[in-house]
Amino acid sequence: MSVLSVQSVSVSYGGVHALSDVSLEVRAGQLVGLIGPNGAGKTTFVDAVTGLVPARGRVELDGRDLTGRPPHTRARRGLARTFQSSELFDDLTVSENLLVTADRPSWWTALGETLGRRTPANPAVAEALAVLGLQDLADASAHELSQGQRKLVGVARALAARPLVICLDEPAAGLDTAESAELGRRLRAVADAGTALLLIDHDMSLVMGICDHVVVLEFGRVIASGPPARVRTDPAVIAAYLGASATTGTPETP
Amino acid sequence: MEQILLFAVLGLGQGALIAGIALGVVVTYRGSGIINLSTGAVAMASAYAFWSLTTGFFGFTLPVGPAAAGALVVALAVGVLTEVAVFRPLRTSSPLAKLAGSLGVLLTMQAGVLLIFGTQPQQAPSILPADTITFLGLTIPSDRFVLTGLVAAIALALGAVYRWSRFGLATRAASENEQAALLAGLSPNGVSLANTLLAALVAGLLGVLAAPIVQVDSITLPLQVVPALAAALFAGFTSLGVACTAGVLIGVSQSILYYLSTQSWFPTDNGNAMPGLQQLLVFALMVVALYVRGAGLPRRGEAVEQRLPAVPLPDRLLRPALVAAAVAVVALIVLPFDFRQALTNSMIGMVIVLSYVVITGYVGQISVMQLALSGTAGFVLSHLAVRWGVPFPFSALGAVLVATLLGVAAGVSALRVRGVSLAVVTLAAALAVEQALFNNTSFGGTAGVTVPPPTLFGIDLGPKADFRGLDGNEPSPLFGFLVLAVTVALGLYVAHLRRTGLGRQMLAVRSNERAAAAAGIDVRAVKITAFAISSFIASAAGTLYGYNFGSVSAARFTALAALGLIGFAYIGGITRVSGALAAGLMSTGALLPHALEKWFGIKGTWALLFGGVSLVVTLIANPDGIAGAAHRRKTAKKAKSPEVFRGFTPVEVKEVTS
Amino acid sequence: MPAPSRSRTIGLACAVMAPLLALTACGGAGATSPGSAGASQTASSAGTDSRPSAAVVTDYLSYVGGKEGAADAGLAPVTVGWVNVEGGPAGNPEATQGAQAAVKYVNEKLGGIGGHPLRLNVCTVASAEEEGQKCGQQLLGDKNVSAIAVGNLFLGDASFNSVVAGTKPVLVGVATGPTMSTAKNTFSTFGDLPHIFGTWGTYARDVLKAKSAAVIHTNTPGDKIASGAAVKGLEAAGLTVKSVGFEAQAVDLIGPVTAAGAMTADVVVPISLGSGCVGIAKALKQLNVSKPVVSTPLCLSPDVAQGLGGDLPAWTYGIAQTLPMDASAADSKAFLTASAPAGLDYATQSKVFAPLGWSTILTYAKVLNAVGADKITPAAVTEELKKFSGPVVMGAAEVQCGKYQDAPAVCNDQSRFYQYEGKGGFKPLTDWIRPAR
Repeated sequence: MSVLSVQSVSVSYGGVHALSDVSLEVRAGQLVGLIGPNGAGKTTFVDAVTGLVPARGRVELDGRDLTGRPPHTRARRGLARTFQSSELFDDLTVSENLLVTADRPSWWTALGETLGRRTPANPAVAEALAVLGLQDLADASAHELSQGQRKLVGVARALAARPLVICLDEPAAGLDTAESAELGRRLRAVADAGTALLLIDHDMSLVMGICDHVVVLEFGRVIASGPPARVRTDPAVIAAYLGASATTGTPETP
Repeated sequence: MEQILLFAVLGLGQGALIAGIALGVVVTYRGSGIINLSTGAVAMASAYAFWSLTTGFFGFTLPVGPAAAGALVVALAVGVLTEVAVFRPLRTSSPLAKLAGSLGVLLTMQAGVLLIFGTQPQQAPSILPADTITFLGLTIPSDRFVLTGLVAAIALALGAVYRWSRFGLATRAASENEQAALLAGLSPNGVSLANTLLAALVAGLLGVLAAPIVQVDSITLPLQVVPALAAALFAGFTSLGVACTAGVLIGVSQSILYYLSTQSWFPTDNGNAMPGLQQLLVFALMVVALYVRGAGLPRRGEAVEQRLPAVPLPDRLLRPALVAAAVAVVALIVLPFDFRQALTNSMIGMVIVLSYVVITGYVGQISVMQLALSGTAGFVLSHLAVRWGVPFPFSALGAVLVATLLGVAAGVSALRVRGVSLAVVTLAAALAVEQALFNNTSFGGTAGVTVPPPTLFGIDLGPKADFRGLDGNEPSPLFGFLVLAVTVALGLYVAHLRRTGLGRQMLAVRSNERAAAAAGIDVRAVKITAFAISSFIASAAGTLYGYNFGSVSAARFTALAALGLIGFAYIGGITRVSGALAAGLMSTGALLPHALEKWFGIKGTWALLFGGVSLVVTLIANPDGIAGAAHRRKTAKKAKSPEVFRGFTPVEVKEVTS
Repeated sequence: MPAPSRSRTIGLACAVMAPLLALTACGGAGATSPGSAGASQTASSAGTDSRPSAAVVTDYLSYVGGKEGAADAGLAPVTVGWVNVEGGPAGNPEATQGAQAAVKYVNEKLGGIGGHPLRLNVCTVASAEEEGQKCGQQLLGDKNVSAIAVGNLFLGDASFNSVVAGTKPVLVGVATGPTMSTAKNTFSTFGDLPHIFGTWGTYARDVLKAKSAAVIHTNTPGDKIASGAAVKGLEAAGLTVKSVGFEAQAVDLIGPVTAAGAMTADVVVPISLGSGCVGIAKALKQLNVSKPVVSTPLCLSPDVAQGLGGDLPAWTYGIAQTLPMDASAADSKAFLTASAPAGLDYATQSKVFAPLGWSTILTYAKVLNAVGADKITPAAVTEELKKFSGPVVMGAAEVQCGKYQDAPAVCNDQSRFYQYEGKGGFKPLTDWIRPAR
């Protein structure tokens, strides 16, 4: 049963179709890759799914319809995401960044906090930091971090919400090969622990290496979908990438 | 019908003035991305220069021509000075810092003319023909048409310059993408300077020509920037033609509205014309403009990351608060009465600034309206206590509730508007509230409305309570204690807020609204909550103000006073409670100005000048304000010697070993 | 760092007038303007002083009921509190100078207060509302002060009054600050602007035989109250009135003047100051209106003259004070003669608030003598002030405090009308007249 089910999502800006009828499913514990050349509409797709751009079509999370819901409601239902440019909360520390998503203060807890009641430390924060190996940065200010660290904190922030699904928008961009591979291993572990992941990345080796399923977008349409091995040999994909897969480092072994 | 036509034509004069200043605003924005609140003040400077040169203020009199030229030189000099000393150093700062920088310029220039020329409004000679023409049986002064024609010609000329000259190309390139322009070898500084000078020239010319329309004083021309901002909003801060047309039309509609308000069927305020209609119109037009054009301003591809001052986690709260409170309690008893009063004024000022810490410091929104909410609470308190006989503390709570609801309503309607646009539209709102509500005798009134002293269980807690300080004079320390209790409670709350989930959400919203929404934060709810908290604090300050004076009057809650307070807040450090404390000590009637006056004879206008200059200096050299600088010094010290508090032990050890 | 607000403009404008053309005028009812010697020569039967000579205060000794000679410096002084706006960007230091001259005169010539020397506890407001509160606190805190006198307190009056709140009596020449007229245990011997407008009705009806009037006023709080009073006064005299306000900063007033119907009315009443007066004068000229214009003395200021190219508008002015520089008036002569050796030079004497300060202190000298130097308490002084019925030095022959319930501090509602004839020349048109009934 799919945790995230996206059906025929379309987005148009003015008269331009940025996305046409894109459908996609992610199951719990599954790691789905979404690839495509620049401008294929990958980020637009994530924006549409998370509600940041208005879109037609249907988005279901764990069987509940999210269509038309504002972004924060989707997030609270368990749909987390990271951003291409990390978009951390620069005015907060790393652990506070995570706390923002981990804690969902209700009116009641907000009132309690106002009156001086300490909220117990949220274990999700330490957990998420540990998953990405960021324990040492917990008290660092977000704006002091390096680009690579920002990326990881972005992922940790999404994780801290203990979501059902995480849409990762190019989490490996800006990381070197070793870091990227390390991130891949950690993401795989997250997925194996039961979270559904939708991974967007340019790094073909990363995507092909860890994903269970790959969807390829071009000009806002799905041109291929299937297990990595099949997608890699799909003629349409090869045409779209103009052989790019050969140069950007195809996985060593199929 | 004829009369309406007459008033439409008469309104052309005011319209031309608004249009001219709107042109200056747009030109500056295109050149440097600064919404220049001091554009009207440039016109004021030039008008004063023209007046003084033609009337022998400096001991000599020039003919009109050279005097006008001299006035334009003054305007250009002001332009160069603001560009080099303020705008250029702030080029990479956040839009809000730039806006605050132009506010500093405005305050400095107001103080400057007050110090040089005094407060007396002046009347400059007109260089436009004073004859009238008869048109459809109406007598109309011809200068209206000349003035409108001139402004239209300026707009056309500017448009031609931007379209066809290399300079215009550079400006357009820079305003569309500063980074790309930089790469293309265009100097943003040069482009910015040239545009600032153009804007100063236009504003300066208007200052000289405005004589038949408005008087020369330190308020009128500077405040013309508000309707001009409405025109500029219609123009999206880009189109000269739209800015010019909208400016003229605003003037014309104000004039027609004025005519309608003198008609017998028009509702009146106790027999007099409804006050503040013009300001309400400008505010309404701004709302329309934001609705039509969208809430955002055209963005520039800014080259540098722009951040607001940091908001560090406070490490200790209770102890410093208790120490400060203890000091204040002793001071409220032993100090002479005038210093006790100044201390009370400082605390009330601190409370108002606390409301800015929440809305601007934590959430990053400048709302000029907060002081107007204080005023609303004060007036409502008076009505509740005097007319309805509601006893303390219910009267105060009711007043705070009403004003808070107003603040929340304003916040809800301003949800789409953020950042600089919010500052602009709340400035118009503050003016409208000041003029239409506070000056309306059925609600407010400049003569002041009475506020009876707070009494609880028969004990007077007001400034006239029987328990006096050591010198036996008013104000009673009891009232000081009441203010202190409110100040400490609110200060602790705001500082503590930074540590709570809500505080983190506010800062998340301040950092990045998109990311905050994607992280599950209801951005609207957080903003509305912040507006509510900030409004609550501002309203509480308003009731304290009312009890402090035993009356509430409109003069204290003007839009200009609100701008001044934002300046103080920035100087103190707008993101910290300690900054609010510093700002409170500097505010009107507070300890610092009182001590300066008492011991050194330094008077209010100098404080205004000091405030304007230090606002600019703070923004450039020390954006975190006084409190931020103190915090940095402290953390630097800590980093150097982590064992500061155990400093003796190592020394002893050394002695033993040697 | 708030800038002076527009609502204060009225006061500020009042406060900074310089004696150009030897003319200063400000404040309200009592505000007046010194004429030139030429004016008094033209003063003929039409407008000579109708006050009985006993009511024209010239003999200060008998007026205050003192004893000729100097006060006994060995006796405990009688202290009067004194509050005035000065030392800031605006203010009238001459009010304090006039008061101090009067104190000197009382101590040197009138035997002090029953032999006790009179002294002032001076507190000044420079630029902020908060300072009025400070002055109130200072004077309430001084146990020697049982009576407070006020110069031109157009700023800080609200907080001052809320502190004093009737605890000690306050005597003021002209009630300029918006809260002065309604303050408790406060007595204004020259009244305030709104309450002398009744006489505009009398003058328009009886002298001008007018049937309709156009009132044009600034939309400042003070002028709105004043215009309301003018409308009431004119309507009480049977005129039909159209009243129109305009924003204080506007100088282009063709619109308001037209809207008020100045082209068809029998009399035009401008209620404004500074550039507002200039704008009205220019608009009337541009519209070719030649009807009589009856103005307040607020238009008699140097900046108005300057705005009109050198001279004041040649209008009729209603004034609640004898023109101090009118050498033919006996009370003016007495003031000039007595105050000069007490330290007032000619330039100061010609500023309107100097004689007002002088008059206020002399009124107190009379009242305190009546109470008796050893029986002075706030309550006793208040009671005596309530009984005070004039005459007022440089003012009306008869005053009645507490006549108006809406403005209990106002003691005077009479004024006289002068015609300005240009080049500093004033011609009295009426004697002291009372409001229309």
